[in-house]
Amino acid sequence: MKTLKTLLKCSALSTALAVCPWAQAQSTAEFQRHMEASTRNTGGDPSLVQSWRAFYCNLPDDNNRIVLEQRAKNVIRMPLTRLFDDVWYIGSEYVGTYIIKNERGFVMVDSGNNAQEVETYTVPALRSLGLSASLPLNAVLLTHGHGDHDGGMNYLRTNLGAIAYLGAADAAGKAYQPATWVSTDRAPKNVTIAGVPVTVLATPGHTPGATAYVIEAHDKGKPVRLFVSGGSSMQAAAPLIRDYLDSMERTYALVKGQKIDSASNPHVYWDGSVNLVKKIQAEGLRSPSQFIIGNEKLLRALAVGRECTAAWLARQDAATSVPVWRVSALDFLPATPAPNRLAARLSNGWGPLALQQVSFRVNADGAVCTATTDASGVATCPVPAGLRAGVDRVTATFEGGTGPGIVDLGSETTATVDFGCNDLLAVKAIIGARRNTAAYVPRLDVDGSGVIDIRDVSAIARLIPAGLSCNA
Amino acid sequence: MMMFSRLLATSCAALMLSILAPVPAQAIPTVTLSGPASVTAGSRFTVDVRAADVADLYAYQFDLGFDSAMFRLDGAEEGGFLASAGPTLFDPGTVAGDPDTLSFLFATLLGPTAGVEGDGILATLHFTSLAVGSSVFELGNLVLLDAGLNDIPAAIGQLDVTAVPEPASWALILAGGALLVLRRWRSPGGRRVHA
Repeated sequence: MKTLKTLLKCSALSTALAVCPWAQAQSTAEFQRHMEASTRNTGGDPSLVQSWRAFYCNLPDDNNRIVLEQRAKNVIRMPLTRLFDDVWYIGSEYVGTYIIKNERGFVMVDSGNNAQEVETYTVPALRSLGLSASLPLNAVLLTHGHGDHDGGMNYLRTNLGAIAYLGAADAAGKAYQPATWVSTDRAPKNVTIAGVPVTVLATPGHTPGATAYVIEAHDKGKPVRLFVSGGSSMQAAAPLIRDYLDSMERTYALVKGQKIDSASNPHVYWDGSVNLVKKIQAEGLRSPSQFIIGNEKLLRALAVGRECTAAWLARQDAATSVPVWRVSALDFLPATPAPNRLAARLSNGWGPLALQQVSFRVNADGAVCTATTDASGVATCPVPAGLRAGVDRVTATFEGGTGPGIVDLGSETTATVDFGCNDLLAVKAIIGARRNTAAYVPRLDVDGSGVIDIRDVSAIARLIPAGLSCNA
Repeated sequence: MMMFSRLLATSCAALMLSILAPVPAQAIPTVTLSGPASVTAGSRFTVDVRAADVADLYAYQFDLGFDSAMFRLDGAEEGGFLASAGPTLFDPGTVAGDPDTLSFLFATLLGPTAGVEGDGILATLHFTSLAVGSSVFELGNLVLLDAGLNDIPAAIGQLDVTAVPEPASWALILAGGALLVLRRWRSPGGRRVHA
């Protein structure tokens, strides 16, 4: 009888699921599954733990304090800093703008906090880069309609004649009369704004009109794609969190599809961009730019953010259940691919992935072999004849998979065929590195002890063919 | 009863024999430091890291602790022991910490080869003495691996080095002392009075 009453309560109180014991339990379990995934998906990378994981999960962590602390840094200015050949950051340690320069003038992403800030800092910065009648500020791509992103737009339009672009859902009442993106069109759009190739992606969630951009920039003359996030903090209302989740998933697909390997956020603390800007200021712009973090890491970071979002959704809406995204890592075994060995290990934050298909392709159009991972997650293929060290490249691919309540994200790795000398010199360079530090490379910790030491060096050294000295 | 006594006596004798009988001695591998016990301040000296009684040594790694206020490590080079078996990869380690420690100096053979046997120098470390005093040089984080990448247990030694003033300093000190004695002798209060 008591059970029946409980069941009746559960069905009757569909709008107040928090009072239903089993729904509460289900919600809690769902929340914890996603929170665990958000942590495991970092792979222990300190830069992901301290920025992406910390800030995307600040709400489900009940740790909004860290965002408020960052907001206080809006008074700490960061000077104009070059990130690529044609991209600069200027702003504070809390929020700022990106400046893109081409032969037609300038395009900016976001406009700063207010007119005074723009007049004091941004315009002089633009002038130092050559702002003139022949090199005007042509356009400002706004990520969303909050004042810390579009507060300087009226000034830029009035004084420099720049055209604002904003998601339509945020555009109501804006005095700067923006050209608008269709916020309900969720597919990425490739456009050219004042000569700058841009991919526009509606990413509602932070605000209904939030918009992300992929800017084509150049790093030492080589084209690179810079992803700029459309919004940071999540909201409390479930529909907006669902939008945010959908935006994260579409962003992941875009970054994967375009193989984007560089990301930024007007809120530079949110994704660790502030640390990269400071690094450039300290050591100078390197080649490749410090802003190039790699497609694999960026995808991992977005998956972390997606899991934070799913956890927050579970907290705010007990009726929703979405699968857990698990980031997989595919790594060639040490001293492979070699002319006599071809093996890769598939794993994720939970351990090795067994019974999964991994394909190996030699060069872009060469031989393909598919193998199934064993209990250790290792897939091994026979070596194709004539594999050339230092010449041929092998790509291992895991297309991804699904299980009950789980999505295993696909992964890929590419390496040049080598007898093991590259790995030997790589492991030598990180001797002493410990797990959860920046220098640590899991695939080179052959014995999995958490510290790179002579056991790992010698395990690779043993695989070097007899007589080869590796020029060590 | 007598039978039992005999049996007991025989067993005891056998046991004694087994204890006293010579067995092939299996020496424990050691890694020791050899260098001067005394150096003059400001001089350079070397410390050899030696392995003894090892079998099938394929790779090694160690740290070395020392007082960096008194001694400066100028460099490290691989000894010839491991390299006698084939090509090696050597790393002189890094110096960091407070007090300074040389960390992760290592060498390994390359390829599917057997390790080295017996005794030899693993590495030679070059130091400069910075000040007068003494310090202990201590090995740590020692790993010896055989060709199967199994650990080889080993005993380790340490080295005490004392830095003394250089001869010129001694001469200066002695000359200063003599001058003081002479002045005391000549001063009225210090002159001997013969009764």
